[in-house]
Amino acid sequence: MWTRGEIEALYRKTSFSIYQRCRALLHEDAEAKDVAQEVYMHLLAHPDDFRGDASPSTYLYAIATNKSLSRLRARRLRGDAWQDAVAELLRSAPMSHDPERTAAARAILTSALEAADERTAAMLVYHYVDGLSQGEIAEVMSLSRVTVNQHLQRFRDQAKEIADREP
Amino acid sequence: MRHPSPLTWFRFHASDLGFAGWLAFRGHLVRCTDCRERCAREVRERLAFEGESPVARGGGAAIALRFAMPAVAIIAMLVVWQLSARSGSRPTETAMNDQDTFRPKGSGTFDVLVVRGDEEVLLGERCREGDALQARYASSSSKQMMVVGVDPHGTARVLFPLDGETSQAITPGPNLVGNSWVLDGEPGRERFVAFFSESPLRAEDARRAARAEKPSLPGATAIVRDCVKAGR
Repeated sequence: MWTRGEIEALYRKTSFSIYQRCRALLHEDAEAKDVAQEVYMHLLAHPDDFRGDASPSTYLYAIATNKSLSRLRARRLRGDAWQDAVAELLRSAPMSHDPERTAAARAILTSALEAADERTAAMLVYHYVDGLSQGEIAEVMSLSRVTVNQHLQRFRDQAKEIADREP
Repeated sequence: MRHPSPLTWFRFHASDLGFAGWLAFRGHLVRCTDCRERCAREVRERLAFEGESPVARGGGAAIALRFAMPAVAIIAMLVVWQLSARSGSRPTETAMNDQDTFRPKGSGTFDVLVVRGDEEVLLGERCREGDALQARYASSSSKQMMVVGVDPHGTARVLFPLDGETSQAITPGPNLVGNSWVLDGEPGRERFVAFFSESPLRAEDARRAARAEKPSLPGATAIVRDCVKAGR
């Protein structure tokens, strides 16, 4: 369990990282700072949540991602606006040079965000937007690599279906 | 070339890479101009961001400086890297502090790492042509260090300080030796001997000691790392 002093020390150490992470997902400065503050509010409200399975920074990376995705949903985006928001996310992704993969990723991620499937959306962001390795995704989401591999295989199958459907 | 992931950059700015992670990250920065420029740019952004933070404002200049110093040191290091990359030589590294993941034992520790692509691993019994080697060391008690390399022909050369005539003063660490060594194709044993001492050592003595079957020098601790290189 973190004490208030430890959370303050974490704030000093990680505030820029958290802000930068939120800004990368939200593409808006003021909102990124807002969400970054929410991350530390979460730590203060739930100091027992951190189990020590991963490093503190990995844990914070996950919280910052989840809160940013929640904020994206809270903008009450629908339809084309979702597509635009996700397109923005994917613009700097490692596979952005591959239009087919990007289009499939956009479709899958949009549907996950619309369905408010937080964990799926987060994993899609880690895989398609961040380009994290399976090991990194497993660490961030406190899952086994086998589970991550199974999920990613399902995404790849979905992406292939989408790509095959395209004229 | 695989670049550091957003998670790695996050950990870098949060000072949470760990020693092995820092070595890998640093190894990539040395090879990648884009990431080196990104690092310098983001460290400057971080300085500006932390200067504006409520914690910095509330705590005054002291807190802002505490975050500024490591960032300034990183910028200075990156500037030196940029200059030395153009001149073809490598700068001497200064101390890193990562006490959470690397604790020195005894009078000195010395490891040699092999850089292969984006990975850095500890030197094993075997090595090969083209392996780029990087040494790390730490000492809680010694004030001087000299590293001597002995090639398969038995020729000894002072590697740290590079071609120096006397040993160099060191800080406790952990530290990296700035210049790395790339192995040629000559088969046989490659040896690296680190001598730790309280008083300065002479190169001539260290070279002679390094060539011995069991290197030793009066008043110094010797740590030996060997590998065998197969022929072409």
